[in-house]
Amino acid sequence: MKNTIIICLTALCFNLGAKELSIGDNIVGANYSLDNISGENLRITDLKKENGVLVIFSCNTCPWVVRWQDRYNSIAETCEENEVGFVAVNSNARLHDSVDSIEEMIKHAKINKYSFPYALDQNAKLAKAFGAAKTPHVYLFSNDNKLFYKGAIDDNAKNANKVKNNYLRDAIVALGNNKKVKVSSTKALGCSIKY
Amino acid sequence: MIYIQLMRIMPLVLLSIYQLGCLSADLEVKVVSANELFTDIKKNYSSRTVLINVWSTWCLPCIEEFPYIVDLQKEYKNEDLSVVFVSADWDENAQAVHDFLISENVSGTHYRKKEGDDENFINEFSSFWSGALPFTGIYNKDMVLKKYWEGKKDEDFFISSIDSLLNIKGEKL
Repeated sequence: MKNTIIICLTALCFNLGAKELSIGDNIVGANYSLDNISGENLRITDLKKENGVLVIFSCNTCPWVVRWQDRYNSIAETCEENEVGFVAVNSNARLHDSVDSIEEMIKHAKINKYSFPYALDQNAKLAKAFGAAKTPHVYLFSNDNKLFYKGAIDDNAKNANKVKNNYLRDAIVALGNNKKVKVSSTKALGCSIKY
Repeated sequence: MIYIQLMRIMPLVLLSIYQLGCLSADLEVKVVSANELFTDIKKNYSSRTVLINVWSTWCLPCIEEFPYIVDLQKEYKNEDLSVVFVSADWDENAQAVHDFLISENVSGTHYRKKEGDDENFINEFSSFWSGALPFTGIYNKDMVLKKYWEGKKDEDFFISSIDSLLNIKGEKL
């Protein structure tokens, strides 16, 4: 009883928001309809491949996304090689009428030569379901829909050539080879998702 | 000839000296790790609560809430609250940080995050922090986290959060 009260008070004190998915949690919102820049609607369920699926919360303007996105196509290739589906999702609902509109997303994807689905998440339903708070932020799910890795792409947003820990790539390869991942959860600074 | 050239560049030299004086005399930006920041705060601040706001020049919500966070220091006694700002800008934005702080008419000691090691930086502030900006944490004078939130909040939210901590009686903040 005492512990329950302490937990409740802690939650109030620390202003906990939507609970973020933890490693091992089941995927949620996999059937939500997302608006792909190609014009079609897609669902994470449909994108999932033999070994799982990767979701990156992204956007058009966040400086951290702008720096990290030079690795997106390489991530897409690693996913392809390891039979993992991949989608970048834009959940900045408050900006969907301006800098993060579907039209701007189409332009952004073209300029940056995105080779993978880039989808708008209406009303940030998916981000809210995941408890995702920032961009870029990745969630990698296994074939049995469990969260396998979450967090940062790697440890150097500014310079891909100076990366020491390639967290996401290692996790995708581990997933593709049915191995455990050494680091399953990481953090990096980023832009808050605007919803 | 040399005299003419000197006369040409003198206004620029004087302007630079003036600007440098403004920066160094009233405003200091220390580049720190989280550990160095917390050590510095423990050493130099003695208020009951310390509000730390992590911001960035390229973060619009951060820029929007910055002015009324600055004003919080005027709302509370120095012994009750200290407001500390930490920029998460990269080194290439050092001048932009200076320029923004000057445009906001702030002075005193400000901080900017040392590049790299984001994860350790984030966790030193709070293991609950996802890394999203802006971040605000309110700590007691021993730098124990008492309250935190991510994202932009309005002025009333800041004030009620600080008040709720300062009004706790009989408990060590």
